[in-house]
Amino acid sequence: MWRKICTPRSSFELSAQPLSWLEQRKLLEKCAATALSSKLISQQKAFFAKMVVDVVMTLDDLLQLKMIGIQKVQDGALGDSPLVTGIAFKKTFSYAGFEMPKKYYNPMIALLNVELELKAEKDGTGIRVHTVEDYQANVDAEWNMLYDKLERIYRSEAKVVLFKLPIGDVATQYFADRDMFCAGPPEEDLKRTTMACRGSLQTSVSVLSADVLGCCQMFGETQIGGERYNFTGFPKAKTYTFILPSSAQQFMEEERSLHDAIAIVRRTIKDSGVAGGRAIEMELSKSLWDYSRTIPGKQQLFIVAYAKTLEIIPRQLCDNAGFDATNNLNKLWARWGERYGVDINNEDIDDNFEDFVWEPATGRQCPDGGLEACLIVYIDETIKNPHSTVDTTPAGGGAEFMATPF
Amino acid sequence: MSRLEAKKPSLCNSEPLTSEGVRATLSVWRGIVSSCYGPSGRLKQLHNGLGGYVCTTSQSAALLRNLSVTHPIIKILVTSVQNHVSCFSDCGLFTAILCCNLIENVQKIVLTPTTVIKLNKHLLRLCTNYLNSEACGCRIPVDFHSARIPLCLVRSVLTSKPASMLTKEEVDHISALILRTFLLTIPENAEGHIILGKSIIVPLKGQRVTDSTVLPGILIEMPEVQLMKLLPIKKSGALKVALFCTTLSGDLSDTGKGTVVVPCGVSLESAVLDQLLNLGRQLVSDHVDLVLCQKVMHPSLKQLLSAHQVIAIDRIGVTLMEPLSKVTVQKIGTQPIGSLGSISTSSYGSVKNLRTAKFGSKHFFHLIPNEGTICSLLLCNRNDTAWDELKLTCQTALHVLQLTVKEPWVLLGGGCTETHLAAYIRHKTCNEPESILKDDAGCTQTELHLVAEAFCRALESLAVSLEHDGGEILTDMKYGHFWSVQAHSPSAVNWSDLLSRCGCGLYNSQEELSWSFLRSTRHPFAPQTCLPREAVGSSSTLTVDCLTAKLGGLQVAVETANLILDLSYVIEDKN
Repeated sequence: MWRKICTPRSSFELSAQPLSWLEQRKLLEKCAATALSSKLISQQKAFFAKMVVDVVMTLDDLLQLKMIGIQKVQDGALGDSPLVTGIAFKKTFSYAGFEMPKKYYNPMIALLNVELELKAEKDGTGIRVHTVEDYQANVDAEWNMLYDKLERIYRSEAKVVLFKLPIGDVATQYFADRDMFCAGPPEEDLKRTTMACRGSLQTSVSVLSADVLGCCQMFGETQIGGERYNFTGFPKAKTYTFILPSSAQQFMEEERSLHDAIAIVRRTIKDSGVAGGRAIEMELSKSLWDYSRTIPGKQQLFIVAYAKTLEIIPRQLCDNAGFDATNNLNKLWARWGERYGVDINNEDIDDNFEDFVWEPATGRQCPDGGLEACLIVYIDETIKNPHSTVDTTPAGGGAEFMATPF
Repeated sequence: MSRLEAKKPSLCNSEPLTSEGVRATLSVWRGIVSSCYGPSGRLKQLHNGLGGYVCTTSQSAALLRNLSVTHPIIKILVTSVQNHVSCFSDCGLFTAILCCNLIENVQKIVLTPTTVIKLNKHLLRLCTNYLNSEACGCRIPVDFHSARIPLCLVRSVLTSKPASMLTKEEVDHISALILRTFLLTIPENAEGHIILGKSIIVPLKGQRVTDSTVLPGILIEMPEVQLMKLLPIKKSGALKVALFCTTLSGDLSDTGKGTVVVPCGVSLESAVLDQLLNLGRQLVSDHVDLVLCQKVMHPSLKQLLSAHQVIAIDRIGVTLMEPLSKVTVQKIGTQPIGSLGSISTSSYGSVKNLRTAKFGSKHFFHLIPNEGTICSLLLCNRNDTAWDELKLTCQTALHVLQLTVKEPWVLLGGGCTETHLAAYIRHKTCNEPESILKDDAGCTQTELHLVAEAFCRALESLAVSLEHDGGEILTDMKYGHFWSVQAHSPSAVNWSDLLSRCGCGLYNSQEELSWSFLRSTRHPFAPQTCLPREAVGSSSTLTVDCLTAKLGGLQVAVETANLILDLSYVIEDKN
């Protein structure tokens, strides 16, 4: 019965009329602001909504979320968050006395997954030497191999070298002496850099030709809050980094809220939108109530039960907001079929579609929830296999099966 | 030394079936498998006591694989059923339930196990002969010119697994898809010895079931970025393919404990890289269009090949190697290339075309063979549990279709074959007992009646296991088919008002039939044999089972029951 209910009422889309670019932008900002309303950074929702929409609208057709990075910085006001067109990552290490230029323009970037440290290339190998000269020759060979690799990197004309694996002091100093920048950014930032600069991660330095190196418009260093950041500019590559300065740890964890807002805006661009504030659940509930009246027999009771279950969501929204849930739900019942939902700001109900409290249509997954419930209801026994330990022995045949009815 | 334990003497139990513990265990086991049986069967959730993967299923293959069993008698049962399922894929629960029913029913009659075993064999022979005979009243021929019966067969398999959570439209869609997949595995030139092809199931979880589709050829999953770099070349005609099963990464193989002496000036890495690049140049000069590698390819080799417009795909994995060999093979017997040395021209294969495809969030290379019996079934379902069940069900359905090609008959499903067979056995043992006993002087007719009654009750209990909602089970006195009525129905004299169709869907209640409760004692009657063709043709949807699988299940059930009944001693080694 529940499967029957889920199928014909699985989508409720309010098809939006074609909008101009400006109207679409306003709509998307309101969508992003709705997503941020329930988060800690809701006080700055207007500020962040604008940034989120700027970023998502300038992504390419694939709208890849991984091209947007979020960095957190101690100290500073949340409302001062800059949006970097490109990639920013925390500066790791530089030698005192090494005066790196603050900016490189149009540098070539080498992305390497090579260890450049003085240690044996392969673990577990043994070398038999007979004389001191042989030993010296081995040590020299190791140094020469390392310098050879560094030389190849230098000759590739890369100005910025980004490493996935750790590099030693020798390599860092070598690059510093030759006015090259080297850093080991976190993996996510390295991946994004790889995609943005159109380079490829090299596992060997033997062939570092121009087609495997990436390039960017500008590479530099700046101070944000209490930390220094390296950033790369890729105006053509469509990648952005949010930098969240804040003093409190909780606000810094709100990168998830930004991620939510970005995902919502992206979905809204891809798919159509529906009214928020749980108007969908109320409308579905109404449809099911109407449908149940056409069904003779006891099946009607199941449909009514499903309809009542849907109303639990706006009820919970009201409870969480501290409203009188019964009162609000009664008002919603009175306005059934008019796309009304809960208005959190005014402790009342309102036409959320007109108020631009929208949600993406594909976020509504009612049918899956119903079918999952069917799956769970079908389970009548749980069988727990005994522990696989040496000491415990199953006590007779009957104890093997622990049938626990639901 | 603290872990050393003195050897404990072995434990010997005589007459194991007389023990209350064993009977209780058998009863619990029977309850588990019976409650999973049929389209309205319940699901079992199996998990490890230490946590980990949780399996929710009602299928015997998954249930027995994940169930941990230690009692010897249950182990024999489980092993027999698993063996049957590995050969036939279907009717695993049927076998398990019938075997338990036989053991339980036979224990209630006071006869020696030897007599019971002998008579069980006679009855099995009777069933097998009847089900294989032309006069069988529950056997339908499969005409592969029409898709109706094969579709009914596939639909019966799909609907009997409730954990897949399929709606009616989804069942219809997947049934048609499975039939199409099966037809794609049949070679076009049907001469001489026919070898059916293979279908590869490609998972797409989180999508709607109706997004599932089937494509001829092989799909190789690729990350989107790599796909964008490896743009297929626009070439008319077949593409020449080199398939490597060895690594092309340039890694030096492990020398083990040996010593490698390297002369001065020689770099092992460079030497291997040179060898790889020479191989690449040979592939280019041999005009190879597509290079496939099971393992990893060196980036320099990839660069060389892409510079010469040769598509290189690596990290294919061992699972796809066998179907790829079949798809790309030029002549029978050609193996994938396993060395980095010089390659003979006969090692290359060809494919008709290479395309890119996108399904959901996954991107694929689609290799289309020149001719072939390999296809890829893209199966979608909402979540992991439902997808795992659907995959197993589709594999069962495909296997069942293959078995039906060999022996083109199906049996009526929905419990009708079991009740019909029980009625037939009762009729035969009452009216023609000598035809069953033949020259066996060791058994009397009374003994035959007792064992036959136990056998028939076992079959009928199996049919009753299909009903899980407390409804009543009836049988008609003409065909001996299975009829069910909802629970708490008013006791009516006129059953035709409450009943609609029999379990298999062949007959409806409008025919002039008389019914009685299945569990009631009734006078044996001769069920109508020889199915009328018009009845088969007129009914819209039939529930049918594969004859080979069901007959195999019947044989395994009786033989396993005989084996267990014959057990006199169980000797267990404790440590």
